[in-house]
Amino acid sequence: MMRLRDDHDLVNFIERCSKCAFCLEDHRSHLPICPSTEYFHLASYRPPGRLELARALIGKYNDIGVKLTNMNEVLKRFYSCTLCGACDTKCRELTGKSPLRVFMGVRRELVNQEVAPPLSHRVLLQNVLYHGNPQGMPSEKRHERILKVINNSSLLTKEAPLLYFTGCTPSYSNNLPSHMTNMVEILKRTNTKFRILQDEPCCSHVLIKTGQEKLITDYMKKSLEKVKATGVKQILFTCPACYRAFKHEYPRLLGTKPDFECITASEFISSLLDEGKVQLSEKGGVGETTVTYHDPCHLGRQSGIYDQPRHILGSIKGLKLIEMPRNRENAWCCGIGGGVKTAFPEFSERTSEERIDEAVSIGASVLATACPACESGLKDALKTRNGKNNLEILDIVDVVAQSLS
Amino acid sequence: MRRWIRAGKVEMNRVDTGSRSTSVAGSFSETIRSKQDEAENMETIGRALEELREVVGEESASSAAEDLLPYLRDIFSPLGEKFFGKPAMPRVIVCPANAEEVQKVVKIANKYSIPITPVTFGTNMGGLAIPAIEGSMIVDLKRLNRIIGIDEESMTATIEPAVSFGRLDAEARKHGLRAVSKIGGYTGGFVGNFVSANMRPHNARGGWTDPVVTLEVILPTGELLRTGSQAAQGFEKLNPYARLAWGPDFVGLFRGSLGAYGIVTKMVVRLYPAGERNEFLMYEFNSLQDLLESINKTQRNDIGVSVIGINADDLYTIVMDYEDRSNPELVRRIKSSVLRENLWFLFIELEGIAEKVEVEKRIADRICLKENYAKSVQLPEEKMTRYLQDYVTHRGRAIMHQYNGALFAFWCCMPRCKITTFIEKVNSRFKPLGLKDVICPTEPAPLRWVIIPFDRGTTLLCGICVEYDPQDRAHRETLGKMVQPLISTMLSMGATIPLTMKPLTSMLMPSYANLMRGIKKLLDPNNILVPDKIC
Repeated sequence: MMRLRDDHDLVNFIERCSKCAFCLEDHRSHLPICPSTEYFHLASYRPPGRLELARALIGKYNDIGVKLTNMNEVLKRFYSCTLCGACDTKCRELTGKSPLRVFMGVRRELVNQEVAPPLSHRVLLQNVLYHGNPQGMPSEKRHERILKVINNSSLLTKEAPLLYFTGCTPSYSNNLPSHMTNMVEILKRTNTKFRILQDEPCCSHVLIKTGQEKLITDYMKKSLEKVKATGVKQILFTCPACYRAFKHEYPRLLGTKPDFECITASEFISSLLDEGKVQLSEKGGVGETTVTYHDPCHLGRQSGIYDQPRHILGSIKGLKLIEMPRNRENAWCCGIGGGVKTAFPEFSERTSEERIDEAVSIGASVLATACPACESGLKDALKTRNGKNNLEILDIVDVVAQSLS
Repeated sequence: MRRWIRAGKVEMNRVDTGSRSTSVAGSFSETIRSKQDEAENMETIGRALEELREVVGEESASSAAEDLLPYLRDIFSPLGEKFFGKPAMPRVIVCPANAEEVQKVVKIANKYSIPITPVTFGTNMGGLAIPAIEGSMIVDLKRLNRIIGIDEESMTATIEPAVSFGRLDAEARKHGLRAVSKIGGYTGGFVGNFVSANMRPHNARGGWTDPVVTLEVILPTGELLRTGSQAAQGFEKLNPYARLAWGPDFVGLFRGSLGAYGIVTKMVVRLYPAGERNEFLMYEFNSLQDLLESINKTQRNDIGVSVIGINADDLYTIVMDYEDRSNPELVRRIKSSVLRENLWFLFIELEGIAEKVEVEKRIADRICLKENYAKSVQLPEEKMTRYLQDYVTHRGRAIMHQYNGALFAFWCCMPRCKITTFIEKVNSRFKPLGLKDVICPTEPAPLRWVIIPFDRGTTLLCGICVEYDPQDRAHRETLGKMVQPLISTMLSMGATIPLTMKPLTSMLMPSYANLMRGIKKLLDPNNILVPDKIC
């Protein structure tokens, strides 16, 4: 029997899902908001369906003789959720119930019982433990892209109060060759002293999300010690997942209170704009461009940061910002999160394509986001279009770097 | 348990709650039982599943327990089984994408004698879409979700079953039209509500003008039927949007049938002009009689596109969200001021040309404020008014936060003259139970009453809802014991229910019940579609 049943609040919620279906359709655009519902068709892939499976896993169907014994099928249903939180936002806002807590609780419990995660996620764990990144790439190549740029920079200093935490995706994704250099360029042009962490570890966010947090706790402790040893007061993240890991997950799992401030690139750049420390001119000098903004789940719904990226885009001359029908807390997920891209690549790609279609449908020529993982995933999906869509996908740091006057 | 009928009292048929449901006696049920044995044969299911997958694709049909479980409960569970029996594990789930696939699926079900339960949004209540018969096939219609077209000239929309209220209304408004109003939130669909469950839009106008125009139905044999003007071959070149055409109006055949006579795959639904002005009127009454009189008069004068009467407890659950209800002090303050126990409320949505709305508003004010002693309602917070407007117009999310426990609810259609007595009788049974609010346990459980005009306001849909904690066995059992007395009270006072339920078949006149059975046998010789719900 699962220990999830000992969590009274979660069991309470599982029993009280009213099957109202508000978790499946956005109340403003009336478009679907749950990627797995749209792709997989069967009810077991929808939030209410997963809650019923959770109910069975804690033994509530024993009275009619139903037990779930095929763990591969159970895993498929729980791990095909991107953990985007669209259902959670809808449900929690008015009822206080959190489907995401249940889904995460089930993942953790299945991992603790050693029936989860899927094999591809176990590889992620090994990669992080042995290579310091889920991609399994050589750790010594982590900052290769910016070493030339920062080595001679007077702004890179061991005494700087700001640590730029680069993250794994910008370091290794082939889709983001300029992401880190663009962020460094922004720091340089605003005369911001910063440092980077030698032997920068993985934030472990993807392992937490795949339920493997107990297996990564020691690694996380060491990562936190590395960061604390620098004595920095502020950590800058361009990756919202890394941001959430250090701001929320580390305190929760390690029981520590951070003695540094975590700040996202969007908040950082937005503040610089407000303080007049940076001026932005035309993007790349190309004249008026229609841009739309994709709210990353980790930044938007899960961190409440919606306005700062829009403020940045709105400050760039020649950029006309238009919104997709599903935006802000109702944003359609890019399909990358929750370990889905690794375990269900076709589903992930289809979900990204849906987002691209939405951007194209409103006439945008640039799809901006503020998350390297979203950017990388969307670019992967765009590649399969073979140039059919004339859409440029950029991160906020790319747009800003191109617009620095 | 024997069934018996006495004057004014009916005992429900007790359904065997063992591993298999028992139907009424007779050779017909024996046929069902033998076919059930066959259906339960796993080899049969395996063959059927293979054929189903050839039709809908590998990923859209399954016999895995993981895929079948989500269809076994609804918000009424577990008390819902008092109406239709304990849920029985289905054997296969299939998700067709269009009418053609539905036809093929139904034919396969006939071939292998697998009873079908169709479901769309899964927002059903009371076990209406939960199989109570073993070995069934769930046909999930969620993929049939297209708005095929909106015709401005005829003011109609052609939709598939998985089009929600909110979605159609939003789409219709782009054409200067709107969908009918129905109580509740924006999820849930037209086919399930207005056809299978025989609901009506909640105003007198809705009672006159049925929003269903034509249907495309897959009959239990797999044959395709269209009603109304679409029954003609080549209807696309004629007028495809007329209900009354070619003789008998077969739409009525499928209403209230819970899917037992056919699976609706398309529906032409009436739309209405979206007005240039939209107003929301709120009135407070000290007496139920004054509320009923106001409903009567406003509906006889055809006022309002959406009209709902509720009591203070129901309003409390609408305008106070989870966070608010978790604050005992705030709850006490609101209940002692704006939402005092004895109050009743009437909400009227007006929409139309500005002058018409203005006139209707004056008429409503005269009827309610002057003639029936109402006051205008002032809610203390803007968000409360927003929640309320959402609730009355089904365009919002408000109903969601009403669902904080499981729900015990029952609705019936009652003559206006008997409603006051009915509510008093039911309240007198429920109040002594001492049930507590599931969110704010220092408060008594809200006994929520809803009154909606049907049939020109002469018949009112009247319903009670009580939240309960499904984990609290005592709570559950207490409410479970109320089912029988509640139904007996309803029926003894002349109430009717828009749909039929097998347990109540015994109170129908023989010619009516026999006709239902006869139609069922004619349309469904193998008793495939929803054999466990109607007679």
